[in-house]
Amino acid sequence: MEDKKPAKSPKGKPDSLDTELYSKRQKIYPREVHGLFARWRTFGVLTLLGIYYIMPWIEWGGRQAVLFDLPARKFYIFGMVFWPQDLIYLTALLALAAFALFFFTALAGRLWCGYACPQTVWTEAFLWMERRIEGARPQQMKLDKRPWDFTKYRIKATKHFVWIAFSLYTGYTFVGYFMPIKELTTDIITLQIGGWALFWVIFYGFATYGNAGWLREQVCIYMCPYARFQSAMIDEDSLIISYDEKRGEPRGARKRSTDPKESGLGSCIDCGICVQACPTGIDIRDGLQYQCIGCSACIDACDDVMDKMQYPRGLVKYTTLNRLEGKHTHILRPRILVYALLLIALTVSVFAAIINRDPIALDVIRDRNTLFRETGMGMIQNVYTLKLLNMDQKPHVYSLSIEGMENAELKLDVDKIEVDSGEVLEISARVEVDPAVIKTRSSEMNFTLTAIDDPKLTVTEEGRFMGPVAGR
Amino acid sequence: MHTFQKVSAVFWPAFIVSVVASVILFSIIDPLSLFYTYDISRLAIYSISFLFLWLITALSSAITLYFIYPCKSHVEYD
Ligand code: SF4
Ligand code: SF4
Repeated sequence: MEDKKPAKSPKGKPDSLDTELYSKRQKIYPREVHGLFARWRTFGVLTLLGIYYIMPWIEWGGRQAVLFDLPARKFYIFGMVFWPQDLIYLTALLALAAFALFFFTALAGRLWCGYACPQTVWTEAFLWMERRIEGARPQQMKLDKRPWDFTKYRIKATKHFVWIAFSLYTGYTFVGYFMPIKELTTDIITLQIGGWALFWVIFYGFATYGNAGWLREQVCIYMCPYARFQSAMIDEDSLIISYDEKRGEPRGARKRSTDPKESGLGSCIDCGICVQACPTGIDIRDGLQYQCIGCSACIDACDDVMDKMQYPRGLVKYTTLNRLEGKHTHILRPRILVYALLLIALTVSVFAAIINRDPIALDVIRDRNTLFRETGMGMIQNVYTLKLLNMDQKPHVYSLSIEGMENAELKLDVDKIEVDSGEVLEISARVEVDPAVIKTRSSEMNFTLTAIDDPKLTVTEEGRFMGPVAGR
Repeated sequence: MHTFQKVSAVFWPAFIVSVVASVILFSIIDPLSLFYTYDISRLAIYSISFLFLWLITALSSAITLYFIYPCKSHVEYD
């Protein structure tokens, strides 16, 4: 009886965890379930798959709305343009996402795993295809047991063919987030796809096929870091899925006409349907287990059985550890309030930082081949490459000036500095100084770039001027 | 440990770390500024560097796995 109780702490016992963790895998054939939560999951899966496959095709302001253009080193997110030096914003956004996940875990347990994790979403899609091709759970098991004959080869080949085609399409869509998908499509159709683009399509496709077709729950159990540390965020008030042991036990098979009260039985008819439905192959009646991804398949499965037996639903249900013990559940508790406050503060500051980002940047790169040279006029000349970034939504014309060196003269190879919205302009700049004023080998000097139509758009970058030290 | 767990313990953490390392590396360095004399695309440099990093980090994971092993004989599991 001891381990039948929902464990007090969501963490498993360390030794049993280790032995279980590395025991041999049995193939799991999750039974298809229907019900309220299955409908929610289908809704989640279809929405997320829809977003994933459609997003690269959406245009915004004449270009792909979401494009992390790696070959061009520019990142477009709905009209905003980011450069590699904006990595800090990406880091902040990832930190925000992680924090949001902590918050929802404390509040609602592993909702993420059950409804939104890509591993769940693609596994559900693969399971759906498998069931259409191989049939329901019993047929699948029968097929696997029967010797290899033509029919078995045909069914298995069909399944893998469909899976692989879907995976390759997934890989192609994935690459379409990192290079313009229209160009990629044209390249594929005309058989001109670059070797590395093709490599990544196949790589991602293979990962999809392997993870959703073969590895499935093993990804959650052995590879997912979230699955390992989520228990630290869950407490007695977090939403979990649990079997109502008080009501269910003693379990036992019985005829539908039997009155459980008279026979001394609990509500669980020990049919094992909940175990068959579980995609990770565990028995929810053994208590809270780290393998449980909170998918709620066992709830739908059991509710169905309860309906057939004409017992009230909810023998397996969403609940909290406190409620299971007849105590009150506190939704608003210090942990939640602190997480929520931090989450709000972080969200506001990240978005404020992105919105207030200076839409102008200047990069000064010294010519690496020569330190300096003397011009025919006897001046000392340094050459720089300037990179001008216009992150604003409209084009600008800029003026460029230098300060910090006496009588320094700035010569550009263009007459008008004009940069389109979201573009980088590279220009070559020469700075000439009279050798008489040069006092040190290396002097500091500033380049200032200002938008002519909007003087508030200005940026100053330091450059170094190298020269011979006069008179020494 | 079974083969799958060993393989994933070596290649999977290495994969995550080399993705992070590649992102940081190439946000600082534009590969074309280093290889501008060669006829090679950015995508090729990103890819080769990533695969190389993955190999190196996998090697590190493999050594970790190797060093963990002798300890197992001292720990008793029930
Ligand atoms: S125990 Fe229930 S909720 Fe948990 S993974 Fe299995 S079916 Fe899903
Ligand atoms: S489906 Fe419900 S009744 Fe059947 S074994 Fe599971 S918990 Fe018991």
